[in-house]
Amino acid sequence: MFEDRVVSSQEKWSVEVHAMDAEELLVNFLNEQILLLEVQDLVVSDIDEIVIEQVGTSQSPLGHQFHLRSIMLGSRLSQANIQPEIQIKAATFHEIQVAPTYAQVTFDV
Amino acid sequence: MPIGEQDTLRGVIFVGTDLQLVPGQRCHWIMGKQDGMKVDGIVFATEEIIQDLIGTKALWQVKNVAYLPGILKASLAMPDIHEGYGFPIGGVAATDLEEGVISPGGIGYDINCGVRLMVSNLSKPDVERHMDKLVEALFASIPSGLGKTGAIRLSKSDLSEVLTQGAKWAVTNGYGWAEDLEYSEDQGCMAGADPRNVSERAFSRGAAGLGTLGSGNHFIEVSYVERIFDEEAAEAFGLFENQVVFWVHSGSRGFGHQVCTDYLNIMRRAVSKYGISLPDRQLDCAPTMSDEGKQYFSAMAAGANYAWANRQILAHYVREATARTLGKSAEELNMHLLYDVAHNIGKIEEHEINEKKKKVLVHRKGATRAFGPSHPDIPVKYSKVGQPVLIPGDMGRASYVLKGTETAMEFSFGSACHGAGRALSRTQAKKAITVDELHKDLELSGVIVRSATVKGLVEEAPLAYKDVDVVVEATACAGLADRVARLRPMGVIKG
Repeated sequence: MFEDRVVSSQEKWSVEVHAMDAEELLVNFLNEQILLLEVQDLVVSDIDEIVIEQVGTSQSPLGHQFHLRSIMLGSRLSQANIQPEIQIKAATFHEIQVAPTYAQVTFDV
Repeated sequence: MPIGEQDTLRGVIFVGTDLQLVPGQRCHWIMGKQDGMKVDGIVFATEEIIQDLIGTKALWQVKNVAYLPGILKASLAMPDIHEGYGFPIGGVAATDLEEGVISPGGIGYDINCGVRLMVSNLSKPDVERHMDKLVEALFASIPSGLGKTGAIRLSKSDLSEVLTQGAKWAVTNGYGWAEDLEYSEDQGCMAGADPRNVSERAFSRGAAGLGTLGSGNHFIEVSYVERIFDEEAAEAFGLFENQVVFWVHSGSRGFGHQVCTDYLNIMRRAVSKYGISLPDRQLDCAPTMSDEGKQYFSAMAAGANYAWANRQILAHYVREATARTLGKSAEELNMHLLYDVAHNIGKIEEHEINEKKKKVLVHRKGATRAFGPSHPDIPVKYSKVGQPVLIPGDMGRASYVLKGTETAMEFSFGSACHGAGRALSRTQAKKAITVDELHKDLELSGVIVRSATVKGLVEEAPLAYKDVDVVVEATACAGLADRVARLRPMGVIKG
């Protein structure tokens, strides 16, 4: 998204998402970053901490089986003096793959 | 038969080892019901278009859509079909209102992405010598590109008014003319919008996006009418040869994307709750009359209204910039709205099913409503000839104005193609042409282009799209819409 430009880690914020499966967890997590960039101008440089837990079963209320909590590092785009090369509008389920050491996701641009 | 080969005796094309397209009437290809399909698939296309789709997922997606509960007649694909997320782009699916489902994937992320066309009393020679200045003025006036926010900042209560009033909100607030509303699908406002079913996330993404073009395939274009095919319809639409016209192509921006994202999660739970089985999770849906279905419909309608307000405001900016550049008011330049159509939308419409009129939910994903003559939902001025169907092509070649037909009502729930359709992915396009080559090509074609980003421009290069002449010919051949005018680009602002 930002090619080779380096984003500094001036800001720290937390993100929490729920999901009913691993694919949804990944998509929700990425969509949260897209929202934060668009609305709060926050662009990620690094993930300081990430914890994924199984919190329920398929019978749980709202279908939430997984919970992700992360501490994100980055900058406000307006302070970072960089411009995105492309605008990502959504993370999608198109051809999504999530494996223990590998994931593939398609973004809508 | 090998995949992609045609059985010369029966004309059958083998899409896969167990998937065939059988020729029906002219430019109609039938995919027989099989496996979990509840209806046939029908692809409206020429053989050439079908052959280009072999090896992509698009035709398989036509099959998958046919699994939707309550789908009526057939899973349909317009001639500009290409691979989408779950649904093909160029896909149309009508579902029974009482017993069928509503699927956000059948409407898309950019809810009511659509196009409007404004006419003028200017002819090509009047404007040619001002084109550099006009393109610069349009580029300066219209916030476009990555993450651009506009001059309009809305409180939550103001935004709620936009979501329920659509283009009328814009006109009431000084963006455009009262008559514009008459010349828009649904008068620029879809009934049933309920901001209470829209998330805070969507509100936050919508607060600063109104009056912005966005990126991707969105554009403002100055074109001229190169050729008239149908004098009667052209006269009704106010078109004449060499006339300068103005396109606006945009949608519901981040707001619509967030509505779609939110409801995909809700629909994932709904398919489990209602025991719906589908071949692709991107088709996730809920019964239209369920709580989830009604809530999504009302949020989708809110997204549609956001988009209509957005295009109304953008059109106002186009009028202002043109008037400033040419030294005459937009009224003096006769910059009337010809029409505004949605490309990504779900509509409750009345159609004939088994010889009886029935209310159905029509999903149009990259497809244009194309109602025929005398339909009560089109402006009186166009009633005799049919609804204007606006087909933007690509920035280097051509675009079309078509008219809706009676046969489209019969074959495609009154739907036609929405553009040329992509031939190359964005990544393939970037590999196929450099920005310098593109600028040279466009210069040779006499088209002036300004873009917020170099990458955005290359991704939208003419070679990334199918030839719109071929797509429109197939649309007419299939009986979905008839040609009225062919337009050529003069200047383009890309998001």
